[in-house]
Amino acid sequence: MSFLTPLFWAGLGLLAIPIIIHLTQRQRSEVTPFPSLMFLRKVPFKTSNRRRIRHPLLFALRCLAIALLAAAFTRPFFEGGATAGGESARDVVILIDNSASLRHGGRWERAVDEARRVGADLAEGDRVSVVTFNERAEERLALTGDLLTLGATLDRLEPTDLGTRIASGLQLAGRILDESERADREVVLVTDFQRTGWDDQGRSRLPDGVMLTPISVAGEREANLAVADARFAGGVGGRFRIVARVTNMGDEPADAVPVSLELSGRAVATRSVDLGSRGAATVSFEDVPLPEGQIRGRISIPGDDLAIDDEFRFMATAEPGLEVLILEGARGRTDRSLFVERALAIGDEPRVRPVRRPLGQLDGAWLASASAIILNDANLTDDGRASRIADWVEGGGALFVALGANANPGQWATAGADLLGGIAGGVEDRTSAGGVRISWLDYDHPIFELFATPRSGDFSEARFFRFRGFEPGAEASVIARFEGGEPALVEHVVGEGRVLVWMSTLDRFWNDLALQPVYLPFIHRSLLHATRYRDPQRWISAGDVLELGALVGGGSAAGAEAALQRDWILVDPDGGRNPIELVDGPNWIEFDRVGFYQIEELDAGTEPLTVAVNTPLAESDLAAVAPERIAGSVLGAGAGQGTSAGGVPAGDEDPTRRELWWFLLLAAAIVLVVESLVANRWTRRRPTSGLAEQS
Amino acid sequence: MRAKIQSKAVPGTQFLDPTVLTRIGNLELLAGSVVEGFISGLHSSPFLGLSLDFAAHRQYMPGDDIRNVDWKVYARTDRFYIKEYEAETNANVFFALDASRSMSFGSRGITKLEYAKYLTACLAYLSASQRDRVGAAVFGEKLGDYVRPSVRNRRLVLAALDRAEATEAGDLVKPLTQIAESLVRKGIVVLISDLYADPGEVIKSLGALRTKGHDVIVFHVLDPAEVDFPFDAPRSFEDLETGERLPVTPEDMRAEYMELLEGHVGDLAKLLMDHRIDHELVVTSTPLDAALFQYLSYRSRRLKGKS
Repeated sequence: MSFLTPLFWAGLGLLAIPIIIHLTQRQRSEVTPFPSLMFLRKVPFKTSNRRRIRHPLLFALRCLAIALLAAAFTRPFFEGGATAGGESARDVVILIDNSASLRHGGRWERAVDEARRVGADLAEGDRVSVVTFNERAEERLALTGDLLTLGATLDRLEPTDLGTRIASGLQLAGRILDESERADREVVLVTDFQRTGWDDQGRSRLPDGVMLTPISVAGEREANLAVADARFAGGVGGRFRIVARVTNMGDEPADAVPVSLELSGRAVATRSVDLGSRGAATVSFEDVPLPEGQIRGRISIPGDDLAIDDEFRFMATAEPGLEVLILEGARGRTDRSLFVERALAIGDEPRVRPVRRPLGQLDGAWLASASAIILNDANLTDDGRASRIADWVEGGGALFVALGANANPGQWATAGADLLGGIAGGVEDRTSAGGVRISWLDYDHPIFELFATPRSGDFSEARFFRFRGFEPGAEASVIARFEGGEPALVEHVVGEGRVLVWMSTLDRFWNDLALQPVYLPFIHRSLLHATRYRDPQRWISAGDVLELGALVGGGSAAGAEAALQRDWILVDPDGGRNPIELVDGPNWIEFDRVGFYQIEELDAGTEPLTVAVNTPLAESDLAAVAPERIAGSVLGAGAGQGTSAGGVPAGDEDPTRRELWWFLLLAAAIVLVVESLVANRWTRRRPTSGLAEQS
Repeated sequence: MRAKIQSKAVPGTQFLDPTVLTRIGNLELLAGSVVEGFISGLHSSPFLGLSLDFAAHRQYMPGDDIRNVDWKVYARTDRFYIKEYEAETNANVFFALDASRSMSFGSRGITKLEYAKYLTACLAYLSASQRDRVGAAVFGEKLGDYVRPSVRNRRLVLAALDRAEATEAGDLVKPLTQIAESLVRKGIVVLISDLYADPGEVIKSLGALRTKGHDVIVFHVLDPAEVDFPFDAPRSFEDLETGERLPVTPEDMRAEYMELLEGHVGDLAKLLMDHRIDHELVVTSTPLDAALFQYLSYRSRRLKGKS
C-alpha cells in the first residue's frame, strides 16, 4: 500500500489535542454566583477526576474518527501491476535543463550530479531515458536499463547558450512515457526553474499516472549582473551615440560597476554605473567614431557567476541613412515643401536628409544618391525626365507623388502617368462644404498600422478642402479614402519600386493635415514603407535563425537568388568552418552560440558578413517559479501538492490503482454518528432532583 | 411528613408566570391583579366554600349584641337572627421577609427575593381583603423595615416590600427573635426565606414565635437552579452571602449535591412539622396561585380549628 499524500499522517498528532486539553485544563476562571456553598462545601472535591477519562468509549470513538480522517487524507492506495518481488519496474525520464542559465555558479554540476543520483537509485528492471531541454528538447538516451550507457550520456552533456522552455522538455518526456506500457512511470525534472522559462499556460500535460519529481538546482538569493541591450543613435559624420542597458537581477545593490565599450578589439571608453537591487540603469557612450565597414563591438562588465551575459556583442556598422529628393515644379508656391522637408529632417532612426531640387533640372546623379523621391505638386510633362524617374522606380526606387493644383496628370508624359497606377482627374472643391475628412484607413497596411490602436493618431481631425479625383487601376490599391469614398492615398508597385500617390498637397494650401499631430509620423512611415527600409540588425540572440539569401543578397530578391548560386561557409565563434548546404527554398541558419559568426563566400576575396549573437535576455533573470506551479499545470487539478517532497502522480485515473480514501471517510462518518448517539444517551442520563418533581 | 406544594395550579384558576409579573412595576397593582384573579377563580371552583364573604345566620340567643340582629330577616320571618361575619375572626398576620444576599439569586429571569416579594404582597393583599391586620418586617442580618400589624397598614406593608433589597448577609435567629418580641397579639407569622441555615438553628429562631403562641407558616423559596443544579462545565461558585469562591466540577458533584439538598429540605420539613409549623417549598418557576391556595387552606384550617 502506498500513500499519495503521506504528510497527512502528521494529522494523527491531533489525537494528542483532546488528551492535552483534558489533562491541562484548569478550573475555568468563570465565576457563577450561587446562593450558598453550604452543600457544595460538603461534597468531597476530587482533583484526580481531571486526570482520568470519564467516558473511555467516547474518547476511543473520537480518536478513531480522527485517525480515520487522517488516514483518508493520506490517500492510501494499492498499486496494480506489481512484480513478483512486490515492486513494479519503473520507466524514468531524467529531464535536464541545459539552457544558458545553468552556467551560473555550480548549477550545471549539481544538475548532472542529481541525474547521476537518480540513476543510482534505479532498481533492477527499471529503465531510464535522458532528455535535455533549452528552447527545444532533445532525447539524448532512449529508455534503457543500461546504467553504464546512462553514465556515458551524462558525461557528454554540456550546457548551451540558449534560452529555456520547460514545457518543451515536459512534452517530449510525456511522449516518451506515453509509449511505455509500464504502470510506474516517472519524470525527474532537473532544472533551475527559471520563471522566464515557464509560460506554458496549461497547454502541456503529462500522461495520466506519470509521476513528476522536480529537483531544483538553483541556489538561494543568487545575484547576476548582465548587459541586456544596446541602442544606437546618430550616425552623422560616422559618429554614434551608444546607450547600453545594464541590469542587476540580484537582491543586493551593486555600486560603481564599470561598463566598458570596445570596438574592433580596442577599448574605447569605460563608464561607471550604480545598480539598485533588481534594477536596471543605462550607460551612454557619446560621440563614438565609427570607421567604415563592419566593426565588431562589445560592451562588457566584470565577470560574475553567469559570465555569458556579462558581455554584449554587436556590429557597429555605420548606416548612411536615407536621402529624400524633393522635386518641385517651376510654377506654384515656393514654400510648398516647407512642412514635408521639416518633417523629414526630424528623427534619427533612421536619419533622413531631405534635398529640395527643381524638377526641370533633374540630374542623374541626384537619382543615384536618392533613396526616395517626393514629386511635390509638380507637372511631369517631359518625356525624358518621366522615363528616367520611371526607370529609377522600377529598379527599386521609392516615389511619393503629391497631386496639387500644379500637378495636372492629364498633361503628364506617358511614362510618368503610368507610375500613378490609375487615372487622375480634376480638382474636387469641397470648400463650400467646410472640407471633407479622411474616413477610412487600411490599418493593416504598414503605413497606418501604427495608428490602429486607440489614441494613436486621429486622421479625421484633418480637413481637406480640395483634392484630385482618382480612378485607381487594377494594380493599384487604395489605402486611404475621403468621406465620399474618393481615394486619398494609393499604392502602386512598379517593378522593384513602390509609388505612393497622395491626392492633395503636403502643405496647408488644400488641407490642414500638416498642422495635425499625425502629419510627421504619416510622412515618415510613408517614406520608410516606400523605400522598404529595415532597421539594421546589429545583433541577434542565441537560438535565432536567419535566412541566408536575406543576409547575403543585398536586400533584393534578385541579389538573393544570385547569391544562393554560390557556395558559402559559416564560421562559428570558435573559428570552426562549416559549409552551408543549400536547399531549394529558404536556407535557414541557426545561430545557437554566443559570439561572432561569419558567413564567407567560398574561394572569394569579398569581405565576410559578420553576425553578433548574444545570450537571450530572459536567461539573465534567475528568478524561479515554484515547482508546485509547474506540477499543478502539467498534472492537472487536485494533484499538485507535495511536489518538493516527492513524486506527484498525474491525474486520478490510473486504472491499476485502488484507492481507499473513500472507504476511510465513510468509516469515519459512521464512527462519528455512533459517537453522537452514545454521547446523547449519556448526557440524557443526568440525574434530576426529587425536589424538582415536588415543585 | 414533608411539606409539599402542588405542582399544578388550582383547577379553574389561571395565573401569570412569575417572570411576567416582574414587568409590573407597582407592587400593589401586582398583588391586586393576582389576588383578584385568584379570588374570581375560586368562585368558579370547587373551593367556593372558602369565600371570604361567607356569612352565617343563627338564632338570637340571650347575651348577643342586638346590633348584630338582621332586621331584614326579622321583617320577613318575624324571628331574630344574628349575622355572623368572618370579620369577627380577624387575626394578626405578620410577614417576615428574608432579604439576605442569597435571596438575590435567580436563574430564570426572576430572583428569589422578587418572587418572595410578590408572594408576600399577594398574601398581604389577600389578608387585608379578609380584614386581617397585616404587618411585615424585612430582615437580613438584622431587622430592617418594620410595619406593625394593622388593618390600615396594607399599603405600608407593600411599600416596605417594595423597598426590600438583598444587601445583607443572612441570619434568622436575631431578627425573628426581635419580631417575636415586637408582636403583642397572637396571630399568624409567615416567614418567607430560602432557609440556608442549619435546621436546628431554624427551629431555634422560630421557637420564640411558637412560644408566644403564634401560628407560623414557612414558605421555603428556592430557585430551579438550586433544585436541579443544571451546571456542567467546571467553574468556580461564589457564595452570595460570604463571597467565598469554590472551584467545582458540577458534573461530578450533582448527585451528591442534590442528595444533600433533599436531606436538608426533608430535615427542615420534619422538624417544623414536629413543632407544628407549616412548611411549604416554593420553587420560583411555579405560579403564585399555588402558594396562595396553600395559604388559604392553612388559614381555613386554622379558623375551623378555632371555631
